Amino acid sequence: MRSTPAMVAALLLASAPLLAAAPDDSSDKAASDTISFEQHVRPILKAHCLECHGEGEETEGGLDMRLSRFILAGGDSGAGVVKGNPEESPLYERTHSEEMPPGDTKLTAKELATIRDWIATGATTLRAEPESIPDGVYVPEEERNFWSFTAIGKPAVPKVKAQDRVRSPIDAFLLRRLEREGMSFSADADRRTYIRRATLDLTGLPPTPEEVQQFIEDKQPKAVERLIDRLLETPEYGERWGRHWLDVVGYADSEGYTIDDPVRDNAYHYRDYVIRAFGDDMPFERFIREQIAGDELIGYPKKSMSEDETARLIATGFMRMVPDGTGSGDVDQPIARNQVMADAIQVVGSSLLGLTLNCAQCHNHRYDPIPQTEYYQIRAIFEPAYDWKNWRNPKSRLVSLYTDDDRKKAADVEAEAKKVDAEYQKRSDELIADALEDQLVQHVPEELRDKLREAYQAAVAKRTDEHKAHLKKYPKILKISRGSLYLYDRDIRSKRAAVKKDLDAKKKKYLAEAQNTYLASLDPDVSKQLLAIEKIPAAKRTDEQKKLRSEHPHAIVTAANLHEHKADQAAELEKLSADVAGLKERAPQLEAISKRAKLVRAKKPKEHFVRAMSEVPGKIPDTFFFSRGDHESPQQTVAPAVLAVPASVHSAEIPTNNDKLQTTGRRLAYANHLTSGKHPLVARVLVNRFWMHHFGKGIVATPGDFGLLGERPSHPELLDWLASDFMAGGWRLKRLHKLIMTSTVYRQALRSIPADGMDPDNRLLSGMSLRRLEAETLRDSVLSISGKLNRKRFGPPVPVMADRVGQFVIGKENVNAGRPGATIDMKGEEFRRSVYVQVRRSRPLAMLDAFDAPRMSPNCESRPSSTVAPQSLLLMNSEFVLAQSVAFAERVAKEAGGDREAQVKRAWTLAFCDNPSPEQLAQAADFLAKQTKQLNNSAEAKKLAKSDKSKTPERLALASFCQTLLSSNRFLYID
Amino acid sequence: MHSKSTTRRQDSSSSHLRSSRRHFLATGSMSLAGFALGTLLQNERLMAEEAKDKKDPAFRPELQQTSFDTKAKDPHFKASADAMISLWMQGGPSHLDLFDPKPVLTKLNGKTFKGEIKYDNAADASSTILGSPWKFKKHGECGMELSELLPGLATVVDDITLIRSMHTGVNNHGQSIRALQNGRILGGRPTLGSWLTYGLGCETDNLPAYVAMIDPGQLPVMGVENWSNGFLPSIYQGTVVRPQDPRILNLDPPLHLKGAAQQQALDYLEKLNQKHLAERAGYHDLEARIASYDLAAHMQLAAKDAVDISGETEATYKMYGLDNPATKEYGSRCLIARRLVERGVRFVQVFTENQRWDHHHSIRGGLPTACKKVDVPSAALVKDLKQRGLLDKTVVHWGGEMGRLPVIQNDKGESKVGRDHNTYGFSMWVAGGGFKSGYVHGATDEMGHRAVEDIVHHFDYHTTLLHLFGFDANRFAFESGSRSMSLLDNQGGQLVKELLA
Repeated sequence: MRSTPAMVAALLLASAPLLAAAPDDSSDKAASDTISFEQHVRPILKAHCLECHGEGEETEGGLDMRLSRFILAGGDSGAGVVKGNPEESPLYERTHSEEMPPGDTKLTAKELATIRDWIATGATTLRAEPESIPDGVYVPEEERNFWSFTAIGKPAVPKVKAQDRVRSPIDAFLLRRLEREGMSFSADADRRTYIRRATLDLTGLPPTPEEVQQFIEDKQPKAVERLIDRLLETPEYGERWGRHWLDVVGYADSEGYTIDDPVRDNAYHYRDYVIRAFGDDMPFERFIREQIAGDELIGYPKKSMSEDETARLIATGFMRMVPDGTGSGDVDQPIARNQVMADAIQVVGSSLLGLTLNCAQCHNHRYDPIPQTEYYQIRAIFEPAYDWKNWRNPKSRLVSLYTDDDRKKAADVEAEAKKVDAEYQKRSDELIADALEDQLVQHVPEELRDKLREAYQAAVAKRTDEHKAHLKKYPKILKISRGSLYLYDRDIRSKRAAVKKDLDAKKKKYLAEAQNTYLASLDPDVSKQLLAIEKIPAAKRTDEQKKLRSEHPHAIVTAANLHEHKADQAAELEKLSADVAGLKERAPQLEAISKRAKLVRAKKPKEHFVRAMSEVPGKIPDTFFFSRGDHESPQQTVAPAVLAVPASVHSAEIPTNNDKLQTTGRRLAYANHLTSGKHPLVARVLVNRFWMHHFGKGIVATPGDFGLLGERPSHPELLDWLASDFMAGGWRLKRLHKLIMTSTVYRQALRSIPADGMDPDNRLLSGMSLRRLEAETLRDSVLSISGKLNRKRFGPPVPVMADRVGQFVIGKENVNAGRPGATIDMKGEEFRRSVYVQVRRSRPLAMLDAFDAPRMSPNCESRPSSTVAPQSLLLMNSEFVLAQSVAFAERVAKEAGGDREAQVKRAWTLAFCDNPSPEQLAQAADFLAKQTKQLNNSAEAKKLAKSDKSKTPERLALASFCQTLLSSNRFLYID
Repeated sequence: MHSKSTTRRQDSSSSHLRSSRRHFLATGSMSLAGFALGTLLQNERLMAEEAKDKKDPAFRPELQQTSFDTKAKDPHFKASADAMISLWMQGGPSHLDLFDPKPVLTKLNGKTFKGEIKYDNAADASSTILGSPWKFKKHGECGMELSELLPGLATVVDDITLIRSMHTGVNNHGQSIRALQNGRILGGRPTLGSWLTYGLGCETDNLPAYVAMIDPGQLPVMGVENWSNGFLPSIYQGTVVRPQDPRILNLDPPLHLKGAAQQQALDYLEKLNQKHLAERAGYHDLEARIASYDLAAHMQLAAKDAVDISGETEATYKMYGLDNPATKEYGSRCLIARRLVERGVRFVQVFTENQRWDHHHSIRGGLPTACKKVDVPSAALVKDLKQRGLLDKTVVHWGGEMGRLPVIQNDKGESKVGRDHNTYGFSMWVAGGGFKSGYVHGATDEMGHRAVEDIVHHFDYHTTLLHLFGFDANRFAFESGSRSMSLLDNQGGQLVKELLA
C-alpha cells in the first residue's frame, strides 16, 4: 500500500487555516521577486519535457531544453524563447495551446504563468550556465544540493528562553521553533496519561492497573527513566516495533501476484528474526547489512550453518517479501520475475533511501536526480541474486536447514515408505481386477464378459472398434479406475446389507428351530428344569443344577454350538458370515495403505526451510538497461553502482565481482555503503520513521519520499541531530527511544487545539497529538483487557479463513466443495498477538482490515487512520468484540467480586488506566441497572441464561458495559 | 466510466436519515455508499485520497492509484438494464423434465442410447434412455412448452426468454458454477455481481451494492466463492443477507442486545464520548467517530426496513406463496430481493440450498419437491416487478450450472432412478432488462444431450448481459499492475442479438 497518511484528519481540517508556520526551509515559498530558470522553470521542464528534449535517447525536433541557453538557441524550428515576449516564444505558445507536451497531461495554469513570467522578465538564469554538459541527465547545483542529499551534520543545540523545559537537545530544537512562533510546550502530562502512552507505544498493549499504580506511587527521581527501561526489556517491545518494520518491508505469509495467492509457509522465520532483532536491540547498521547481504556475510552457500549464521541468512528474507508470482503456472514468467525485482528495489528505496526509485524504471526520474541508467545500476547490485533468466522459483530456492544426519535419517525412512508404496500398487491392481469381475457378473450377460474384460484390459490406444462399442454400452465397466473405486463401493455396501439381512434372519430361524427340537426330545420336566437353570447365574447354581446342566452341554442352542444340532445349517451360517466379512469396500482399503505410507514418512526429521536471498557462485548475469522499462527491449549492459547524487558526499565502489568471496559481493558492498555512517539518507530516513511512530507524524511527513515531491522536514536541524546522534550512539534504537521518551516534548499533555487554528497538523508539537490505536494494538489491547491474550511467541502464523459469509476470521480452513465444515478448535491460538496472525494478501483479517492494517503491494510506508461507520458496526456487533466483552465481564466479576461499584472501578481501570469520577461511577451504575432490567425482561436473554448458567442478566449487562468501554473514544485514542 | 449523481429508484431515505447525514457531513466526514464491511471504509479512504491528491501542489501521475468506490457510475453506452436478480438453482435442474420436451425420449424410454454420452458418475451409469415422466404443454400467447412441474412459470411465459441451448462443457458442479458465476472454470475470480458493482456502483447509500441471499439450508457448492470479489477490491464482495437474525453480520447485534438494549448501550456510549470530547475540544476525529455511531444506527434502520416485509399487502403475500408452507421461505426471499432492488441495490442473488437440484437418483420424488419450493415465488417476482414498472430495467435470471442426461442413472427401480450431470446442453430463463419476452432461444439435439442450435456458452451469456448493462464486454476490464483482467477473459464471447428485445 502506498503512503496514505492520516488523510481523514487532513480532510477534517481542510477548511481550517493551513499550517501558519511553514517548515523552516520550505522551498515552496516564492523565494525572490525574479523568476529564474534554475529555481522555477527547470523543475517544470524536468517533469514534462526533458525526457524527449535532452535527457532521452533521442532529442525531438533537435530541441535540447536542459539549459536555458539551449532553449534560446532552439532546435529545428528556430529559437525556443524570444526574451521578453512570451507570445512569440514557442516554449510558451506551444505549451499554452496544449500542443505540448503530447499526451493527456498538460501544464497547469500556474506552470504556464511561471513560464510566461520568466520569458517576460528576460528569461534569466541565476548564474552562468556550464560551457558544456555530457549527454543524458544533467543535474544542476539546485538538485545536487537538495536538502536530503547533503551530508548529515551535527547542528549545535540551540539556546532557548524556556531553558527549564529543556530535558534533552531534542527539546531545545523544538522549543526554538515554537518560541519563534510565539508558542511553547504544553505542561507535562499526568502520570496515568504518560504510562498509558508510553506502554502502548513501546509494547502495543495497555499497562495493567497495577503497573499504573506502581508508577504513580514511584516518588523517586528518574521514575520515568525506570519505566522506559522496564518497557524496553519486555518481550512485547520486539513484537510491537518489529511490526512497524514489517510494514515497510511488506511482510506477508503469501505470494500474492496471482489470484490463488499461495501461502508462504516459511516467511515467518523472517518475522521472528525481525522481532528478535528489535528485542535484542541489534545495532541498526548490522540489522541492515544482514538483511541486504546476510548470505554474503556468512559466505553462503555453505553446508552446515551455526544458529547465528542461519539467522543472518534468514535476515535476507527482507529481499524476498514482495509479491512473487513466479511459482504459479499461469503467469508470464519474464514479466513476473522482473516485477519481483522491481518491487524489491522499490522496498529498498522507500525503506532505506526514502526515494521513489521505482519512478526511474521506465524513464529518468521526473523530479529527483535519478537517471534511468542509475536505476539499472542499482538493479545490477541485486541481479546476481535474482538472475531472472536463470530464475529459481520460490519452492526451489528454499534453503533447507537439514543437517547431514537429518538427511540420512530421512533417506532411511523414505526407503521404508517406498515398500508400502509398492504394496499400495499391488493391492490397487488386485482391487481393480476384483471390481471388474464384480461388475461383469452383475451387469453383463455371460457371453459378453470375456469380450468386455478383454476390451477393458486393452490399452486405451490399442482398443479396437469392437472394444469401444462394447465399452460404450457398459459405461460402468469402462470407467473403473483407481480414482473411481469409491463410486463402486456403494454397490458393495448395499450387497453386504442384503447378505447381512439374510444371515440375521436365518440365524434367528435356525437357532429357534434347533432349540425347540432339542427341548422337545427331552423329558418335559427335564427341559423345564434346564430352562429354569439357565436363568440362574452360574455361581449361584446348586451342585444338582450344575450336574444336570453338564449332562446336557448343548441344551441352549447358540451360533457357537449349532453344529452339534444341525451341522448343515451351521455351515450355511458360517458361509454367510464369511460372505459379509468378504464384502469389504475397496477404496478404504487403499486409503488405509496410503495412510500407512504417510505415517511412515511422518517419521522423517522435521525439515525447516528458509526463504532467503542468495547467489549461485560463478554465475554473474549481465544487467541491461531496459528501454522504457521493457525487459524485451534490453539495450546496453550496466555495471553495478550506487546512486550518484546522494553518493556525492560519500562515494562508494560496487565491485562487479569480488574475488575474495565466492559470490559477487555486490550487495555486501552496497550494504556497507548504506551503513557507513556517511550516507545522507539512510539515518535520516530511519530516525524519521522512529519519530513518526512516537508522534503520529514524521519530521518529514512523507517517510518514504525524501525527494522533491516529498514534504520538507518541519525541523531539519533536529532531524540531522537525531540522525547523527543515532549513528554516534551505535545505531541503537532503544537508546533513541529513551532519549525521545524522556524528553519534554514526549512528556507533554495532549495539545489543546488553539482557537486561532494555528498549526492545525501540530507539526511544531506544542503538545502531544491525539492518536488512534493502530489495528493490531486495538485487537491486542482488547485481548489483554479481556484477559484472553495468549502471549506465546514466534513460530508458524495463526491461520486466517473465510467464515460462513465470506468474512476473514482466524481459523483453520475446513471446507468441502468450498463449503465451510465444522469449526476447528484453535486451542487458544486465536488469542495470540496480531503480529503472529497470518498475513495472506487475499485474506485480510476483518478486524485488522477495518482499522487500516496495510495491504502489502508491495509495502506500506505509513498507515492511514480512518474514522468510518463500519468500524463502529464492528465494535457494536462483531463476534470478536462481543465475545471479548463477555470474557472481560467474566474477568471483572472474578477479580472484583459481586459488588457493582467494585466491578465498575475494575473495568474502568483495566480499559482506561484511570479511576472513574463519582459522576462517572454514578452514570455507570445507572446504565448497569437499566441494562440489567432490560435484559431481565428479554426472552432472548432468558434463553441464553438457560443454555449457559453464567450468562445471567446481570452478567450480560456487565458485558454490555464492558463492550461500551471498549467502543469508547477514551479507549480507542491515546492522549 | 464517469461518476453521476445518484438516481434513486425510490426515495427511501426518510428525512431523519438525511438530516443525520448532514450532521455527519458537518463533522467533516464523507458520504457513504454500501456497507459490506469495508465498503464504506474503502470509499472514505479513497475519497480522502482523491482530496489529498488535489491538495498536493504537485500531482504525480505515475504514483496515482486508481480509486474505487460504489458510487453510481455510467457504463460505456446507454443501458437497458440497471439491476439484476439472479435466482440461482445450484445442482442442475433437469431441463429434460422442466423446459425442453423430447418426445423421442418418451418413445425410446427403456431402450439403449446410441450416441456418445459424457457421464459424471460412472459406477451408477447406464445407457438406458429415460423419457420424462412429466407431461409438457404449450402456454401463453407465445405457446412456450413447459412441463407440468412449473405451473407458476406457465403464467408468465409471455414475459420471459427461455434459453434451451446453454453450454459450459465442464461436467463438475464446482467448475460449471464458476463458469457461470465468474466467467471461467477457475477460482479466485470476481463474480458477476462484483463486476456489475465495480462497473456501475450502487444507486443507494444505505444498502450494500451486491447482496447474496443464502438459503437456511447448507451453502451451495463453492460456498462463499459464489459472492467473491476475487481480484477486484473487496468493496465489490457480495454482502450476505442471512435467512434469519442476525440478517447481516456486524450490522445486527446478537438477539439479546437487539433493540432497546443496544440503544441503551449507545446512549451510554454517547455520554462517555461527549464527556471525553468536552475535555478535548476541537478534536474533529473524536466528533466524527461519535457521528459514525449515529450513522451505523441509521444504516441498521435502512437495512431493517429493506428486509421487513410486514408492510406488504395480502395480495403480494399470496402472489409470492407466503401463505403456503412449501413456498413461504423462498417466497419471502424473492420478495426481499424485490425490495432491495427497489431501493437501489445493483445485484441480488437468491440461492437455493446445496445440491437441491442434483437429482442423481429419485428424481421422481425430488424434482417435484424442488419445483414446489421455487416455482410460484419465481414467477411472482416477474409479475411483481412488471406491475411495479421495474421489470423493464431489472434482469431476472433463473437457472443453475447444468442440466441432466437423457439416460438413467442409478437403475434400481422406478422410484430410485435419476439423471447424471449434463453441461453440454441445458436450459435457463431470463426476463426483463432488455431481454426478449415470450421467446425460446436455441435447441438441444433430439435426445436433449447437447446444445446444437444457437449455442449459448457462458461467455456469450455474459457478453449479452454486460451489453444490457451498457458495457462492451471486450472493453470492460480491471487493470492490475501490468495485467488487464475481465469477466470474459478473452474467451471470445459473442453478443447474442436474438436475445435482445
